[in-house]
Amino acid sequence: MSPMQIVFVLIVGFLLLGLLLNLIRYGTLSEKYSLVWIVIAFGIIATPLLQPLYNVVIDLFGFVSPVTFYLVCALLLVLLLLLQFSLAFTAERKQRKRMIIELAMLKNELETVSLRLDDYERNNVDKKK
Amino acid sequence: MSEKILAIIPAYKEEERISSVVKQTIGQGIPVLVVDDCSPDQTARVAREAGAMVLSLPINLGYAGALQAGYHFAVKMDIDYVVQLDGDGQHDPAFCSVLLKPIIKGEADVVMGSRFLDPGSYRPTVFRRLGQRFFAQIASRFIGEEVTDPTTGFQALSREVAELYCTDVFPEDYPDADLRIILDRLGFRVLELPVRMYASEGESMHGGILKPIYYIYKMLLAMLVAPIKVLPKRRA
Repeated sequence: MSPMQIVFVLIVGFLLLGLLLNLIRYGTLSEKYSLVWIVIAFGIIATPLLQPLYNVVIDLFGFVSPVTFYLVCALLLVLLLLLQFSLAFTAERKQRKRMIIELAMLKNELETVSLRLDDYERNNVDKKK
Repeated sequence: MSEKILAIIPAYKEEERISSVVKQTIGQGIPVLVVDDCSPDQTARVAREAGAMVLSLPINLGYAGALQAGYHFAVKMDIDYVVQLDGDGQHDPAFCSVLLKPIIKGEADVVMGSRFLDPGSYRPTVFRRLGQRFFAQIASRFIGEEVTDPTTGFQALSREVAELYCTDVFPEDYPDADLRIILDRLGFRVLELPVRMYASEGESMHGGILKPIYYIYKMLLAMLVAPIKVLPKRRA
């Protein structure tokens, strides 16, 4: 990597890390869902240091150029993020269904109590007459 | 003026142990709310039969979520002081009054029970102890006071702290050392007192391989962010 490329990569990495910490600071992003993003940020920052290791992997798997390798890594990380979202979405859907059912049952209990109260008041009025 | 106190016990799959904890706490003269975190067993029924009020969550929210549900209940019921303890028998209910005393006297806003200040308490495994010591050291450096038990769930708090814990400031999963830093930043008076704790017989929330790794990551990040976290203002 040329010195300017290293500078560019470090700027991007630290900007991303700063953005993530700021989002967590404001409570907009939870620590749980920041894990993959933090790994990406540190991965970007560590790229200049890990260049020799990347070269070994590039040669081993026959990547045409380092850029191709970085693109494939980025794609894999995006797929990982999408998988995390899919899992979270599935869990949220199940919880939402459960809460809707619970709400419907509470509503039913409330209506039953309300009807009983109406009956009680009606009976009391009849007795007074 | 009689002050209202409530013991909050979050519980998940504790049908075998919850009755004893509830009865011992009620025996201290403290009303009990058990927050049943969608247990698949009879925890809610057993707790109710033992004399506790029960809040049954329709979905499992985890330890922090169940506790937060308890705080919401306490604030709604106008409770003045809250003591929280685990439902698995790890925390000795006889120490509830020890934790509550400084809060009632106005000497502290939060009193945390430390097993490491009590020579008779059980000691965790080596790895857990190392982890606790590590996070305790970090919290101690931030706060400027010694923290001996950063992960204790045996605590007493004032109403103002309970109201704070009803907000998004309260962590989603593990309310531990990062919360100490937040309390310090907001100027709350936090005290640590010795309490008796026993080895937990139930399932640990840190069991397995992935959970401890996630816990370490999460706590490191939370403690890094805690000093710069955007916090609500305390009422005057």
